[in-house]
Amino acid sequence: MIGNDIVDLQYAAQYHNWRRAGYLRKVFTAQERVRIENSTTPDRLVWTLWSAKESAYKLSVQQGAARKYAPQQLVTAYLTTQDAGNAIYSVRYQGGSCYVIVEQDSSYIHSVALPHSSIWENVQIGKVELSTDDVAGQRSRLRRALYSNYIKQTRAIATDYRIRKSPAGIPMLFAGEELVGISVSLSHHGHFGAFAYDVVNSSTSHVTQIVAE
Amino acid sequence: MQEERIATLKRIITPYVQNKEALEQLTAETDFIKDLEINSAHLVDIILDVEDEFDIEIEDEAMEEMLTVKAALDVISAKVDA
Repeated sequence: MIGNDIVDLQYAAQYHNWRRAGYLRKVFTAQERVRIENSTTPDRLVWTLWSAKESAYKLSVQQGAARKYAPQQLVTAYLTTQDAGNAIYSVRYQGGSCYVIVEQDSSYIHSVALPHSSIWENVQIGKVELSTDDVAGQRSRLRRALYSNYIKQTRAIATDYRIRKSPAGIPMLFAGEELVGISVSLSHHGHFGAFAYDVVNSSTSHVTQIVAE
Repeated sequence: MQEERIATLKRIITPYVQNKEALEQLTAETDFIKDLEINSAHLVDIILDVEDEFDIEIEDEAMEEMLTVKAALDVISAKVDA
């Protein structure tokens, strides 16, 4: 199971006014708000914490948690920064916790949430810059990038790949009519798209959901 | 009154909707994220806009549920019609 979330920083600066009265209180815990107030780079921190929470939320839904809108219930804690510059957070939520790797680029922030740090080596991630403003076109470009990455990584014989979503909105990869048993997460914001998948740990709950659909 | 509220809600969410076709077929069951493809960071804006528009305060417990048009209307009527 996996979650990922990308934030286009330029788009966020233009369209998401987190300084609006009441915004921070609905999204962040008291401790997170103190960190933001004391930060010298509050915009980056807001979107780092947001993206960590969003990726953890997507993971929790793959783990079977009910869909809900409660970002302040996803509690982030900064752990460390890796040599490569990625920040590591833990995120606690109702019924569990996870490990989040946050890549902080100058133009985007990308988070990948995993149940344990040990499965990081099984994870493939990809980011695509999406020049078009057409959302449907952006969605299909991101999906095509995922299919070609998957074909390359697994040396699969190229076939008719497609993404279908479960009733809970979880993306699932199909080769023709056959479910490929991997956990996939897709994210899109502004002019960036991102995907992450775990090549080893599949989720059986996905399988039951698609059968029920 | 319900129709009036749906129209008000539709006006509030319109700037944040990415799937304009789904907006034209808006029903009580419409899901803000799955159907209208509203970015979840904009759901906060919608909740704040609803608070301002109806002069109500939406607690975190009520906000949790606000993923569909119906859930949003239920929260509004619980506050306004109370």
